[in-house]
Amino acid sequence: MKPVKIAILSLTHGHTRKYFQTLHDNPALDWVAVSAESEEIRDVFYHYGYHEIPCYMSDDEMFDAHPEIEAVVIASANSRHLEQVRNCARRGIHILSMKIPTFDLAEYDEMMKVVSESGIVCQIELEMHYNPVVFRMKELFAKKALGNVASFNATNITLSPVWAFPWQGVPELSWGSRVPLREGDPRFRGGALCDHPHIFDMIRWLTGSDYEYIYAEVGPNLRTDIEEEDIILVNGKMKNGVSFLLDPSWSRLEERLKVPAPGWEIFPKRMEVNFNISGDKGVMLVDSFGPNVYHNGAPNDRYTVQYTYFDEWIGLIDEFVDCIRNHHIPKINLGWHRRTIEAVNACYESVRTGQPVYF
Amino acid sequence: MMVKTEIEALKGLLDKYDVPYAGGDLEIKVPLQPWRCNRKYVELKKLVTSETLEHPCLLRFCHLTASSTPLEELLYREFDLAEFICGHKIQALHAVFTDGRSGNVIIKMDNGIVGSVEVGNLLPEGAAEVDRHEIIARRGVGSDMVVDTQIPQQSIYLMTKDGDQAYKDTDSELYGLDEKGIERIRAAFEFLKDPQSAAFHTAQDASLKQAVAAALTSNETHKKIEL
Repeated sequence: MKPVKIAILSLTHGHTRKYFQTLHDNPALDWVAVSAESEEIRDVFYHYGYHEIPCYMSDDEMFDAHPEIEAVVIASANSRHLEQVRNCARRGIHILSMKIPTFDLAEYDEMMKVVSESGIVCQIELEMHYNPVVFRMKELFAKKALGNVASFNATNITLSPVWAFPWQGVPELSWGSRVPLREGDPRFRGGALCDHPHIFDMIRWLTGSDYEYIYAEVGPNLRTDIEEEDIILVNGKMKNGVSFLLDPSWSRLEERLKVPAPGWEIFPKRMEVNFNISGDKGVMLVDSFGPNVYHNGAPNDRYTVQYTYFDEWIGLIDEFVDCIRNHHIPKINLGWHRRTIEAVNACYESVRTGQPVYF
Repeated sequence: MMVKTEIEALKGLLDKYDVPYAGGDLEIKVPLQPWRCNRKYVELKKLVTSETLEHPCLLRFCHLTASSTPLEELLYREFDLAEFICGHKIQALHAVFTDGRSGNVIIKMDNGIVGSVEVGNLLPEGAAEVDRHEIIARRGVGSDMVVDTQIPQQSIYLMTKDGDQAYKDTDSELYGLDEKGIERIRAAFEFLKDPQSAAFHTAQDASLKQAVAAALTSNETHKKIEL
């Protein structure tokens, strides 16, 4: 199969660096170029050692210099996604979108329209779908190993990336506008909840059901100097009767590094996606990112989880290439993902009103 | 030796990554050390080479299986892991076994690191293997076993009316295969990408067989043996 000529836009998203090795190693891809939003970001990119990849200071400059580019990873702040999707659709360039295309549903619908009209592939990066532990969960669900599922509890808890990726700490760039969490609360939408859509997606995928209602509550911030929520709990019920509790908090503290590096975490495990699922035949406990290797060495002599099995980006890219070359629709496409975005929005609405939101 | 499903999975990887091969290439005669491709050992080695752990002094290895795995096989694997993770050769050893089924070896590496290698094949058939690899350094301890636990963790625990099950799935490209099968496939894949590595693997095999034989001799003679 002819390799897909691919580029990365912006380089400001927290997942950007996870693509470097995949784009470099995967023979189905020909990594052509990147665009950076500032010289500082360009310098950070070259710090990773990919000096053979040209870096441009604007998307258009890159596209004009490399008309051979067929596809891009849009790795920017949420607030820039619409303009970049429009640009790619106009140029007929396929898109691998970050996990949040936008929270503004009018913008979202415009993205769906331009993607549909241009005929490009637009795949949403929800990498949990390519995690081998999740493969096993899906298989056990398909076999009804738990019988009828009764309750679904999931965590997607991490450190906060705002020091390394400052746009995630700016409500206008993360959420899309400056909306207070609720009357009298000095904080705004755009924090931990916006960073962690995976479990909102997984419950839909695994149960095959849709949200009936959703309730959310924010706690006092662990980080008192950021202006968005970092602790939030969500519960509710699916239409098939499954009750759920979702925890998408930034509840693991971090060193305030400008570039992610060893020693970023203060709590040993910087990121977890765990599930406790009960059914009428029994219980399933799942750690999607475990077991691992552990140490308390350099740089901070703290007990640390050294992530050991982390290959979601391989399957994700394989599907993207397959969709481009064989004209398939990605399983995680804009249409599928819209309900997950609506669920996140409903959480903020619930926080605002103090009551559940019905779908 | 790979089983048919593993050979098919290997072919899938070779095709995906455009690695040239002929049918006969898949019957690999070179004695590989496949655990070197297991990512948990790769990460442990990285902790040493990146100097996250500074100046390793002591290894604490353990590998317990059921009787279908000969003690010699366990010693071969664990001795190789010691050399792989430390990047040094075993220089001397002293071994004590009971009935050829369990025991331990004290090894000394050529840079002075010492290590304990506990092996045994007395687990009941069907029991999950127990292994642990701990590196103790002047700065830091690394391990593939989480602190304050005694058995290796799994990714999924399923407790139902039909009994308990546990799963550890670590490789999305080789999903569904067990850990040892994945090691064999990944090792064969790496070898076919770099057939020049045959000389290394063959020499390492000879060296490890010598170390295993020395351990058995040490057990019989009650003497430390220099390699």
